Amino acid sequence: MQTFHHQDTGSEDFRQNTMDEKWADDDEFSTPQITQNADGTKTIVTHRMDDGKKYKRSVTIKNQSVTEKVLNCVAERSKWTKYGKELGAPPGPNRMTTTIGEDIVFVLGLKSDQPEEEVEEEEAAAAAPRVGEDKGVKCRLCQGPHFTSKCPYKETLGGSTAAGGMGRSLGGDEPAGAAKTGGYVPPHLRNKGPGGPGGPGGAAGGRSDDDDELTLRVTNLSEEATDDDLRRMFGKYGMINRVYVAKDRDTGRPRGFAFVTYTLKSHAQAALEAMDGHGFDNLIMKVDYSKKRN
Amino acid sequence: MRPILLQGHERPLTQLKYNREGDLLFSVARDKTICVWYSHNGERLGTLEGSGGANFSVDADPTTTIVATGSADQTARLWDIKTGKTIHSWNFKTTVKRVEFSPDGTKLIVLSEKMMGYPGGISVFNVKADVNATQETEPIMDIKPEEGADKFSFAVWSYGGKYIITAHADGSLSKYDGATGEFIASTQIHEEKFPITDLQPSPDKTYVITSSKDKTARLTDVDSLKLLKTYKTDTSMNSACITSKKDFVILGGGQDAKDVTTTSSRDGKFEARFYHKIFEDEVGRVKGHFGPLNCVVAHPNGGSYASGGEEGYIRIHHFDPSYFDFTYDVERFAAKE
Repeated sequence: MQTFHHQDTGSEDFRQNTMDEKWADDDEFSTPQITQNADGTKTIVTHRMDDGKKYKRSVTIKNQSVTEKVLNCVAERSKWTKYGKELGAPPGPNRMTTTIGEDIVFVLGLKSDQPEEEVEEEEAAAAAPRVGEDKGVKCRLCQGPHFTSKCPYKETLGGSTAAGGMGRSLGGDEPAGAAKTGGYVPPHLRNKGPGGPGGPGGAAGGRSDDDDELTLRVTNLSEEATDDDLRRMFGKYGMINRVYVAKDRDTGRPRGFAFVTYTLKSHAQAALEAMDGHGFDNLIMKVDYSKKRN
Repeated sequence: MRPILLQGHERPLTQLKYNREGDLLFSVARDKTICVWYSHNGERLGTLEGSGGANFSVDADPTTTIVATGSADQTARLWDIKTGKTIHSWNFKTTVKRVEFSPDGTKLIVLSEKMMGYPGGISVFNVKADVNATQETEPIMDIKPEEGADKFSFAVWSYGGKYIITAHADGSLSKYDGATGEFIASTQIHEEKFPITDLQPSPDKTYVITSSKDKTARLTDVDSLKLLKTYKTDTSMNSACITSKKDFVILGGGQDAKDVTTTSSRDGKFEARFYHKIFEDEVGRVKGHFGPLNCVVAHPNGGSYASGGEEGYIRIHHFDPSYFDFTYDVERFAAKE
């Protein structure tokens, strides 16, 4: 086994810049003032003159070393020089060939009974426009169970109302459901059908309103708590979809709260009951739904 | 999960392959480029230059010293992985559709296509995993399909190099002795009118997975040639692989390439599908490609997988921790007791 040490050198570019630009004639401005903070971070303050104006730049960084163990042969291969179309290319991925794709929510789950429900729904939706006797569809001309535009007596009865009913007839052509409720529906309230939002069985994934009932907010959490700790503690009550420990943007230190998302409501409920008031690292955790249910 | 997109090819991907440790990923496509990638970050180590046509197959030997490729320029070549230089080339009468090293790395299967009046077949060569050695020019054995059997489409070695398992265009699998090349048995696995589109061994090479245009992927035991599992989908399948660590199989496919332009990508079903290996249930899908998936391959340690599409992109997916947490209720209960 061989050990690699990666050092996160957030400050490197920065120093490079100051050296390249040669601010040697104004030494007191170019010397970075490095302050070691109590939480393990460093603050580097530099000044520079540009067009007679003085600029101050303050950067807060944290060095983190990540150790990765790999087989000897793999370590050996990672040092090979590039060839072919990559001949002479610097180490590290080439942006021409290698890019990072968009984040994919990949949630494993069984389809369970939801697909059947969905199929029924689809069938119902397919059947509705064809079979007029369904609830709500009523001809404004003859009061029959069909859309106004499809009315067999349109020619004879339609003439009298045509002028006044133009605007309304547009609405009448819509399928029954939309015509009934009418008006603007905000995005977060759309698709609130019986099957609920979300892809087939949630297999395809995607955030939805249901997440609020699947997500627990854990507050008064120890700063030492990691993703893994939470997974271990909360994983007892069911499969966890996602764990998010809120961290400070600058220092990377946990901020004392986290979110845990389950795949099933019953699991979230069980975890809520068991873990609310549970002690971890000298603190009593408070567990609640991420959003109060109405 | 953030996939890594690799754009090294201009034509549809034909095969992806990890080396034994999984740190390198080899890719071939219907263009002349053969790419070698570091699988953890998608960095390209280099390209193997010199192939005269589309490439259909690639495989690295267990020591990751040499890599074999099969090409439409009617050659099978050996390359030095470290420098990217050709070290040997065998000429055939027809396109080379598949190459594979035996588990011990001493033999190489070369499968040539039946076309232009030539019967094609499987040739097995002795190879030395040494870039300076002279390779043997004549095969140690030639295998032709049995009387009445359809042409070979794919071939893999079983555990210990004991058998050679071949897939035929008519949906059947055959078994040949790995040492003598003698025919042992044959069985119809997939529906007869649909060709098999991929054949990959399990990590321990005791069973194989096949995908077919009949919209299924199936597991077959190597020893008994018995059908073990069937994974049913709603579209034709181009590739299937078996993951380690978790009991899943990954299937890739989608609508035929010729129909792609006539429909929207949403209807094309260009998704990698995860099925539970034992229970045969679909447990998840990964979107991303905008053409049919031509090949899916699982990392040897089960922590990631790569897929190659008809559109020429490769996507490497490193799984999130939640992927490893997924268990069936029965599995959880079993673990508790």
